[in-house]
Amino acid sequence: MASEKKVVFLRSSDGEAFEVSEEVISAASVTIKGMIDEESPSRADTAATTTLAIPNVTAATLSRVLHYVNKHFDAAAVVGRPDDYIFCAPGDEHPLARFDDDFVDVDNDTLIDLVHAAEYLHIKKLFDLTCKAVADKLKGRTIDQIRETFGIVNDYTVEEEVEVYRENSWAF
Amino acid sequence: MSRDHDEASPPPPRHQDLPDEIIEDIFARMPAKSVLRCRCLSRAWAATLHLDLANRHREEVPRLCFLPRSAAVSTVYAWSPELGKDVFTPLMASQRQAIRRHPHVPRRAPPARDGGEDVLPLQPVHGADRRASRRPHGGPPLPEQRLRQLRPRLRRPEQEPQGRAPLVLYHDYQPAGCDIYDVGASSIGHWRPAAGAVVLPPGRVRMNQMGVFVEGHVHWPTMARHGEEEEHIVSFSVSDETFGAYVTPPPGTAVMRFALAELAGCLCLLSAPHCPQSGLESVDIWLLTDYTTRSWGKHWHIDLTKLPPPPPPPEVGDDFMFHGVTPLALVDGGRRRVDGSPVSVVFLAPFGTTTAPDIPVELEFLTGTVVSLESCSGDPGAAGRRWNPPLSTARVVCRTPCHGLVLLSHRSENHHVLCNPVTRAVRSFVFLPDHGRHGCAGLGYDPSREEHVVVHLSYTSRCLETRTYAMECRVWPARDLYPTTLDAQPPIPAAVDVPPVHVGDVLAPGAAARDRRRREFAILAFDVCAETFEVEPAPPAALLGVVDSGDRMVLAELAGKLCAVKLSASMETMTVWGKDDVEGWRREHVVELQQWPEFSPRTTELAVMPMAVDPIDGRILLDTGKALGYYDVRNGTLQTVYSLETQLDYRCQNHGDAVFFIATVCEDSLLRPDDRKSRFW
Repeated sequence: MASEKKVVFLRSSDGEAFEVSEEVISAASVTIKGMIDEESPSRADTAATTTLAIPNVTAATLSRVLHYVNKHFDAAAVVGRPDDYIFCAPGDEHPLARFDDDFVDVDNDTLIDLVHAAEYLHIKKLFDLTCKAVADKLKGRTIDQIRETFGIVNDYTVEEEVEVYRENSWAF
Repeated sequence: MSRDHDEASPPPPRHQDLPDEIIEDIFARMPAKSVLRCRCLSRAWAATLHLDLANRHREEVPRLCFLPRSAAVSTVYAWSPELGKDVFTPLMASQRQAIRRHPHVPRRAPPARDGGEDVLPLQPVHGADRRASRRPHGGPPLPEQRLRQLRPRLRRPEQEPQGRAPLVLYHDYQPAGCDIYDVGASSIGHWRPAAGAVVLPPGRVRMNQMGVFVEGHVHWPTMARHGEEEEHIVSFSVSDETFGAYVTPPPGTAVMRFALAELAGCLCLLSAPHCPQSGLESVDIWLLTDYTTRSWGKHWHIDLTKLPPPPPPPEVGDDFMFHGVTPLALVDGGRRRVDGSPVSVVFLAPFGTTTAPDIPVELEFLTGTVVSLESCSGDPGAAGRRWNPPLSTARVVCRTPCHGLVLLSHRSENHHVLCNPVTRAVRSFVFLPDHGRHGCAGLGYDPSREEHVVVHLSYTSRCLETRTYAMECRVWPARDLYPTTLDAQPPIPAAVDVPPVHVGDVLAPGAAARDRRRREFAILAFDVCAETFEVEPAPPAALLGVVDSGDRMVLAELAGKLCAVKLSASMETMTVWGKDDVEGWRREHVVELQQWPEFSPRTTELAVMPMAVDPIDGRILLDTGKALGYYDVRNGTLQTVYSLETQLDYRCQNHGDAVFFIATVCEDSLLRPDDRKSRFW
């Protein structure tokens, strides 16, 4: 008796609903797992699917996140469909490394949105990936550019600034 | 600093609402250098990044560590560009006996990482090291063919290694080849020849120096020959497995003594003027800031005369450190243990009393006679060539490895050898003076100092009639030159004829002991860290059953657990109890050996010992010194995997019966037995 796979619906901040396997999203997101666990007593008797509101994440971001989640956490997909990995060079340390690279190869606003979403949904792997991607983008930036990026106000006096640059001069 | 950036990418993300925690998370994933640069952002960030991220980046912040010039000094000074000129911070002052211990140097544990590959540079191995005296010099280097024969296991394409470690082989003081060790591959202990186009280093690699891994290449300094050449830096590409062009050191430094290190992701060169008599006075530090154009920048000049004055003349080890400077961020030899891999067994021959019947002298000379079980038992992976294990005329006590290091103890001498079967590096420990009695030595690990310690227990006097005795416990940290005798006396007389075992990192039960006064077994445990003895209960008599005179109690470590093993000659059984933290002692296995006389405690001249438990199928590997076999506890069968009787007509070699092999479990480890930086160069 093949039981249907349980699914949940996630509703983004702008009202769009996305279907995802409960098993997969629970494995990926600590936040959603918590939500499902809270819900579960009330729906134990019915086959009705749950819709969870994700108020902090837009539809565009959520669909990206779910794409990532389905790639990384759906064991059936990883085992069952080798076609996606046929282009992996044998030297790739992980079959999804290339996917990850492409996944974060997006414009900066999208990337920051993904950082936010990963943080809110508590998806550690995605959070690591996106933070690393931002860090890589910042690596070669000047101090002024980083200040601009994060809206950091320079509160050093001119003398202090000279001093702090001197102190850390080896890093430049 | 340049305000305009050359990268032609779109402007950085422009989000002002990222919370500080996330920004910190992002910074934490940046290189240390970029993070410290960010201290210039604002006061608040300077504070945050200094306190918090400096901790996260502690291992990456380049600090130079001034090892004192003798082992007697208990303080290590750090110098860091962060802290400014001529400021030396005491890193750690030893609270214990300062005399005997090398000061603790926190080392960078994880190996360098680049593109998902672990690279663990090794020091080049000088093949003639131990046996130089036995061979005439001047012979031709070995043909590469021979090297290949010995390392038959080539990497299969689908087994991509997680890391590679290159090793330069020497023969008669000339480079003879370069071998690669694939870390984490299934062929534990097998080195293979490098696959690249150039496998001989273009210069004479300085033999006792560790390679430094930067930018996908391992770098070694070369030796000037008879003063006619300048010293260079050889680079070896790990991905292509080939030697590349020289990296020329900065002008003026090639004639000075220099050392290599890795700092802040750059190749770092420390140069100091030659001053053999007076000690180092100053050190210049250069960074290879641009690897592609090979441009060096001289970054710091450190005046070592500003160091605090040295302590009074030390007792031991004055010649301990020739190099006064070691950067903390030095990539160390790496330690790695792959758990759950099938038990990998090698045969060793650390002492001179051994013979390997069919290994050509040249090969023995190059390998230090380490032969894997597969290549002895005719595993097809051994390329059709079958070796015999090196043989020893004495049964050598050999314990399970501790981080890959194996301690072998010669039964009749106070001679102990610590070796890593993978790297074939060896260090001897001879405990003197010999009181005419031999003791037993065990290997422990002191995690507080990240150091392996050989613990030796012996009787200085023993009178069986009056039941008086005096024992002596000596500890020998692997980085030290000499052992130290402890004041602490074992509270119960220990049995020094059974080898001790090491279990866990913190507590190392040192020796099996019998408390004869109570006529009960007990276990004497030695805490390597605290250097104290404790008595732990052995399996109670109710569990042990009848113990008759033909029974022997030994200790073993199986699957990470302390086990007590009773060998019964009358019953021909081996009973294994395992110690559980919660439940205490529990009987784990009963091995019935009546059907296999080769393994029976009744017939084996020396104890049959459990060596390991296969993590996959739970079979127990038994070792008698003449045969190896897997005992399956589920159906009570024994499968002989190697036996001198059947595999080798060893009687024809005029050895008689008194020859044994020395089998040990081989772990995937690149740790060096003496964890010390170069002593002679």
